[in-house]
Parts: sequence; structure tokens; C-alpha cells
Amino acid sequence: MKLNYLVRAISVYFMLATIVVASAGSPQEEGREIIKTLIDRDNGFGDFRAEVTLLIRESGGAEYNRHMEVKSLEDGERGEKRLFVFDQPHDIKGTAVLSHTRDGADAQWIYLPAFKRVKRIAANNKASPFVSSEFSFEDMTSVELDKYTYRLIGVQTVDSRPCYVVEMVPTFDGSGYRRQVGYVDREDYVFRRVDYYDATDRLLKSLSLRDYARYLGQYWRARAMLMVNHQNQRETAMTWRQIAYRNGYNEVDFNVTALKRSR
Amino acid sequence: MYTERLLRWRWGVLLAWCSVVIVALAVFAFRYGEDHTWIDNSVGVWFQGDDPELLRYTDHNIAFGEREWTLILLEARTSILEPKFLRDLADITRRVQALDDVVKVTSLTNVRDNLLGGDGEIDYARLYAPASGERATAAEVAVLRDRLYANPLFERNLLRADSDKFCVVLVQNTNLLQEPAPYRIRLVDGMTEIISDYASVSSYAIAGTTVVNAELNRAARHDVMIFYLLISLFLVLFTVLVFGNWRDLVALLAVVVGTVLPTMALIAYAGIPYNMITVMLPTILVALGVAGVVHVINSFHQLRSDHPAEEAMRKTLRRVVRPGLYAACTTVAGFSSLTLSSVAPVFQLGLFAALGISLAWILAVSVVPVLLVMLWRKKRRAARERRQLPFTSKFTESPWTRSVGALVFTLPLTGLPMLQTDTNYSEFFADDMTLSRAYEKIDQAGFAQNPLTIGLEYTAGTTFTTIKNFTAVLAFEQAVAKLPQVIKVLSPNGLLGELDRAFNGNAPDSRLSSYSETQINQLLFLGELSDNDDIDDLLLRDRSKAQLIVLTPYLSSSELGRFRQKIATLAATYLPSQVQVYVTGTTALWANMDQQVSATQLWSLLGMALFLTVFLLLIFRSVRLAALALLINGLPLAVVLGAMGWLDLHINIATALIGGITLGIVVDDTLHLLQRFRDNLDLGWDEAIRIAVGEVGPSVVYTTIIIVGGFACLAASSFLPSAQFGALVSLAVVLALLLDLWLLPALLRRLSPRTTTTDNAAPAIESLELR
Repeated sequence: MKLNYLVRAISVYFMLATIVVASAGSPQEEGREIIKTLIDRDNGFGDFRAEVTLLIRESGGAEYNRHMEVKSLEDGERGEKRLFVFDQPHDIKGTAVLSHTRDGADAQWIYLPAFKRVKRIAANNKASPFVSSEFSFEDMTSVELDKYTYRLIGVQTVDSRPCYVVEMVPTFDGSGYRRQVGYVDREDYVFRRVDYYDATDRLLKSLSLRDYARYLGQYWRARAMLMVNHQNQRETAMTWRQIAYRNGYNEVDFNVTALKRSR
Repeated sequence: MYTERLLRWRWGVLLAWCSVVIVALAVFAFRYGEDHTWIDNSVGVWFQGDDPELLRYTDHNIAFGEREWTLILLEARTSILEPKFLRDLADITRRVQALDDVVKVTSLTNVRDNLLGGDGEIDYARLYAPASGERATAAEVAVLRDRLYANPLFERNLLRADSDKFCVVLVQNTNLLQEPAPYRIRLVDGMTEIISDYASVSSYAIAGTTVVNAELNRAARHDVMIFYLLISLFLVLFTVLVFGNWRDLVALLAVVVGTVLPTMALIAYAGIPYNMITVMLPTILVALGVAGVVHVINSFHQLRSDHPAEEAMRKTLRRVVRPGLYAACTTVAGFSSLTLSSVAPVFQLGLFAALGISLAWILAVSVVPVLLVMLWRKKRRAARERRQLPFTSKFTESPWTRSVGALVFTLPLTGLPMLQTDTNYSEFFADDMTLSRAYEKIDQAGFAQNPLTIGLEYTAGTTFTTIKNFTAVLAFEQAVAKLPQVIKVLSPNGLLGELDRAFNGNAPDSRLSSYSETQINQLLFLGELSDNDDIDDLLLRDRSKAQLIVLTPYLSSSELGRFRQKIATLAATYLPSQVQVYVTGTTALWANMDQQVSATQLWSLLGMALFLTVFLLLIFRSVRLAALALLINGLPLAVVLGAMGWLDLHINIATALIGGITLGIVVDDTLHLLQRFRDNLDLGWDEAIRIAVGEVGPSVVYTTIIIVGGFACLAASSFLPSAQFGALVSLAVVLALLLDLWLLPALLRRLSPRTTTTDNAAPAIESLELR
């Protein structure tokens, strides 16, 4: 009698354990799910603007600034339009860059006020640096879920915050990285840190994101970012100020004509 | 008294010697065991830390990312625009880029230009982009050719329009001025290994200061092995042939080991790596240390035929200590004169050689006597051990001897005005060495052999884009490009012009000079946004400094000096005062050393001449004898320097050492001869001359053989200046020997009291009496 009871208890235990394990998901699935949650929480913002300062430090210690206004417009669920208007240093005041991204395809235009001319520039090299900073164009664009494969590596604390550690391997051509490792806050589903690995799988850069603020009760934005290049000892600090959402922007504000109007 | 004490304490003396040797070995093992960088020919080694040129170069180098330019010339088996070659070139480019210490590689297959798309889109993209990703089609190659030849920046830089056999790969690699580790050797070997893998490359050449530096390190390693092997073999051979017994060899080896090991251990303890100069030190110490001992050994054996060993040694020391001390002093002074140099390796050689020679003399009058007495005490004396050099005045006074001698010793002096200081590192290696062949090949292919840097620093609150500066630099660049030595100028404005054409359409080159500061800055910003990092190689982001990379043939130091003067003149003509212009780079720094090299030669010679004058006057207390000695020993050096003028051999970093060192060495034999002459004056003038030549002559010949043999080992160096130094010092020593055995006795006879008036005879002898 007692033996029968024991056998049944063990059987039930194993059945329950199997169900739990089966429902847990593989590391790949878990990783994807985490990033999907991160992306979903960031979608639907409509538009935003901000004042951005880039402080670029050379390996020899020299520093220089770029200051710009950034406007962004969500283009459905698969794209984004951005307008960068520079105002510092003084000689590039009014220089503007318009970027259209949709389904991975990019188009960019530049306006130089000193020549009063707009020219389209190639945008296919996502790995190229953004205004000579350590941020590349790839780093500046939002993560698109289907462009990577994912794997949950584990859990780690970053800046006193418990984070999921997710490896992201790009599946698209032209990426400047072999893989990235993102540290996703377990509570807020934002990146606290991202490590970038080059084609030979050596650590190339690390991005730290701090000073998060919440907008519209939903959208977290890091207001301080620091990208450190471990191979050339350069770093770029990016600070975001005057962040404002749902400014009422539309397509007209993000076309070539708008470039010339931007000051 | 001294000899008795020495022999009484013989075991203590030997124990002291052993202790010093053991400690030296321990220091060696410890220092070189923990640090594998024991050869360092990096730029920083050659200059004092506060050298203004080095400081400027360091500052410039750090500002531009600590890089230097290396040129790889490739010769295609068929054509550089043949698809297979291009595919291999792409592979070479990729693999070289992956090497440690390579920062950036530019070749035909990854060079970028501002391409305009169908809708006028600007794309700073690679010109070579085969659709298949592997091999370009004929149509793609045709497009590539058109694009390469359309951009004047690439001409004589990466390829030549009039030849499709050669192309250049420009490599920017790490340039660490103070780094002793042989990373440049690894880098050059890595490049060589990669290029050798491709059959479509029929030949190649690699040039640049990286390569020269690597070859210097390689030559130093080679020299360390060769010198020590040769001097060891020579020493053993000499002892066997001249002395014919192992006992004297033991005494010689005791001095060699006791001199070289402690001196080198001191260098190791001080953490000073070898360089192209100090690598010669052990060989020099062996030659000169042994030379001093030869007098002791020879005199001992001469006296041993009539006396027991201890008595023979007592008399030997009485005979040779004083002249030996004088000789050691002059040799030490000769090397010490090098410490007047501001070139660190020369200073090191002078200091440690002086210490080593001093140590050798101490051993010659302590350990050697002990060993000789111990080893020969029970050996029977042989009459044939008395060696004498036959002296005959008929030979020295014969008209034929006089005529030949006069010719040999005066004709070369006419070459003195032709002597120049000049340094050309590309010619410092034997013709059959890889480096020499590489420079020759690049020259024949019509490309530049050397990149020079013209730095532009903007002060007084201005920058590169300040309009006055910008237009002035445009004109300055054009003037520099027209200089006969200049093959190509790589400048920020060249790239800026291409950007301007891409954004604003084709226009005359002069359009840039009409732009405002704002327009220039915005064009540069366009470069940033279009990922044009090539401009960053030439212009700092804050626009406070720019550099022009001027591609030229390899210029020697004198040629570079003239080139710098022309640049200074052009700068004064075209540039405003707030733009500071300087020619810098490793080549320029090495060329600057000429001033220090010339100064080394001059001060070393002057210092040594002054020292010898005072020293000889003090020891002889006779103006005539001192003058005689100076003549006998100054003449060989003058002849050698004159011969250098005739043979177009220049004063360089190694041959600059000849003056002071040679004077210090050649006077030793004269001192021994004159001292022996004075010791026997009571036997009569002519007899004293005959005895001096007869008894000291063999020792003088042996020491000359030793010194010539030792310095001749340096002639086996891969580094031609070291080989020249060795050969020229050997020549000077041989000439000094001839003068010591020919002219010195002849002039002494002229000074004989019989050749003066009877009234002056007594005062003449009295003036030479110094006891």
C-alpha cells in the first residue's frame, strides 16, 4: 500500500517536472522572447525629439563636441525616419542629415547650408561611424527582431540591476559585428549594457546606458550613453536632453524639402 | 714588493676573480632570463630624452595615432589589373590588415573614392567590388581601371598610369618610439610570409622605417653571434700560433672572461639593451684587453730564459707596469672621449669600454702574473723563448723606404677636404641583403622609397580651415609638389578636393581656394558623415594640426638637410607666421643625428688630442718626445680619414667613433717603445733604440695583430658602418705599427745628440732624462 503510494507520487512528480521543463523554452527562444518584449515596449511612441550632445575623446586625449537636434517619426511598424540638425560647432550650424529606414533599407540625405545644396549619400554601410564617433549607424538604429538570432546566456547584475544576458547574432549582410551581447534589465526591459564583438570575435566596443527616464508612463530612454572602443582607446559620450514625445510630426517634416528648412 | 705580495695572496686573487665572474654570470642569467628584449634599436634609444626634435616627433606621433607608413611594392606576373592578381591582392590586403600592429592598409582592392550613383548619390566606397565577391569580371576590371586612372591622387601612389606591372600597398602600422620589443621584425616577417603565398605576385619589395628598424635589430642579432664566434676563434688561433702553448691561453682567457663578463653584466644590471653600437663592445674589450696582456706574457718569457719564473715576473712587472698603465690610461681616455657625445649608444660604448679596459689592466697586473707564475714555475726555460725583432737602421733610413713611406702617409691626406658627414640607412646594409634589394627595386619601378612628414601646427587661435591658413597651405603644397625630390604629396586638401567635386560637381582645382571657412568646414563634415576616414590620417579633428605625407626617394641626411632648407624657404614664402612647419619622422630624426655625430667626432678628437698632449708632456717631460709621439700617432688617423674622403666613405654613426678611439689605441705601442728606449738610454742612444725595437717590437707586432684581428671581426657585420669602423680602425692600427717601427726609430735617431752640435749634446740628453 505504502509502496503504491510512493510509486504514484514519484510518477506524478516526474510528469509535473516534464511539463515544467517542456514549457520553459530553449535558450534561443527565451532570448528572442526577451528582445521581443524589449522592442514591443518601445514601439508606438509616434514621434520624439531631443537635444543630443556627442563628446568624442581621441586616444591621445583630445576632445571635441557635436551638438544636434534629433527628431524621429515612426514609420509604421517596420521603419523610422530621423532628422539630425547640427548646431555645434559653429561652422556646421544648420547642416542636416535625413535618414529613412524601412525594412532594413536605408536612404540618407545631407544638406550643407554653406552650399545651399542637398545631396543623397550612401547609407548601405551600417558599420561606418556616425559623425566620426564610436557609434555606428547600426548602433543608432533600433533593433529589428528578425535581423538577429538570439540566445539567453544567463543572468548578471549591471549597475546594481539584475539583467538578462542575451547574445544577438546578426543575420543580415553589412553588420559591423560578429555578435552582440546585450544586458537587458529584468524589470524594465531596457538595455543596461551592450558588448560588441568584431569579425574575429574580439571585444570591440562596450555601450553603457544610464540615467533612464520614463516618458508617457511607458517609454524608457537612457539620457547618458557611453561607447568605449577597447581596440583603439577612443570613446564617445552621448547625452540626451529635452526629450519630448508626440510632438505632432508627420511625413512633411521628414522629406528632402524639410532638410533645407531645418535651421 | 708588489710581486711578492701578489704571489703570496695568489689564491685570494684567483678567488676574487672567480667571485666576480660568478656574480656577473648570475646577473646575466637573472636579467636576460626575465627580459627577452635584449636588443633595442628603436628611435628613442638614439636620443636624449629632452632632445627637442625627439620631443616634437613624439608629440606629432601621438597626435596622429602613433603610426608610420610602410610601402609594399608588388610586381604582378602578368598585370596588376588581371582578375586573378586582383583577387590575390584583395586577400593580401585582408591578411596584412589582420596582422598585429597594422592599423590601416590601402591597396587597389580596398581604396575608396567618392562615387556618384545614378541619382547623384555620393558613396565613399571601394572601387573594387566584384559582384561575385571573388573574382572580378572583365567589365568590372575595366570600370576599376577607369576609376583608378581618373583620380590623380592614386598616380605614383598606388599605381602608375604608364605601367601595369607594379602596384603599391600602403600600410600604416604602429610606431612606438620607445618600444624595445622587436614587434617590427614580427610585422615585416608577417608581411613577407603573406605575400610569398601568392603565385600571381612575381616579386615584391617592402620599404619604410619599419623595415629599416627591423633590419637593424636583425643585424644586431646576427652581429652578436658572428662577432663572438670570430673573436673566440681568432683568440685561440693567435695563442696557438704565437705562443704555442695552453698556459698562455689560460692567462689570456682569464683576462677575457674577467673583463667582458663583468662589463656586460653591469650593462645588463643597468637594464640597457644592446644596440648597433654597443653590440661591438665585447669584441672591442677582448681585442684591447688581450693586447695589454701580450706585453706581460712576452716580457715574462723573454726574462724567463735567464731567470726563475717568480724573478722573471718581478722584472716583467717592473718593466711593463708603467708603460702598461700609461697605455691603459690613453685607451681609457680614448673611449671616455665618447662620453662627450649626446648620442646615447655612443655614450654607453665610451663609458663601458673605459670601465672594461680599466678592469683589463687590473687583471693584467694581478691575475695574469699569478697564473703565469703558477703555470710556468715548474716548466723548463727554453732559450728560444727570447724573441726579438731584428732592427736595422739601413731599412728604416733607405731612400726607397723613405719614398714609399712618404707616399703612403701623405698622399691620402689630400682626401681630407673631401670627407663628409652623411647618413643613408638604405645603404647601410650589404647589396645582397633584402633591404638593399628592396629599395633598389622600388626605385627602378618608379615609386617613392620613403614617406616624409611635413607637420603643420596652427597657433594663435587659428586652425587648418582658417581661410588665410587654408589658401596659404594650398599654395605651399603645390610648391612642395614641384620640388625635384618629390614624387607625390598626400594632403588633406587633395581629399577635400575630391569631396568637393563629388558634392558640387567638377570644377577647376583652384575652386577650393575661393571657399569660405564655413564651406571648408562643412565639406570636411561631409567627409565625416560619408565615412571618409582617410582625411583623419592627415588632419586632426580639431584642425589644430595637419600633416603632408611627402613621398620621395630615400634621402640621405645631407640631402634631407637640403630638402628641409627648401621646405623652410617655401614655408617662409607662402605660409603665415601662425603656421609652424616642421619636417619630422624617423628618417628625419636619424638624419638629425648627423649634427650630433659630427659633434661626437669633433669633441672626441679634440678632447683626446688635448689629453694626449698634456699626458705625453707629463710622462716624458720633453716637448720633442711628446711632439714625436703625437706625430707618430696622429698621422695614421689623418691618413685613414683622408682615405675615407677618397673612397667616398662618410662620417656616420659608427665611423664617427674612429677618431678618439684610434688615438687612444695606437699610442699604446709608442708608449711601450719610448719607455723601453728611455730605460736603456744609459747604454747609448743608438743602442737604446735598437733594444727598444728589438725587445718591445715583437710585443708591439703581437698587440697589433690582436687588435687588428679583433676589429677586423667587426668587418663581418651586416651593418656597413660597423664593418667600416672595424676595417678603418684596423687600418689605422697597422699604419701606426709601421710608423712605430719605421718612422719613430728614424726620428729618434734624428734627435740623437750626435746629430746636434757638440755644445747641445748634453742638454739634449738631459732634457730627455725624466728619472
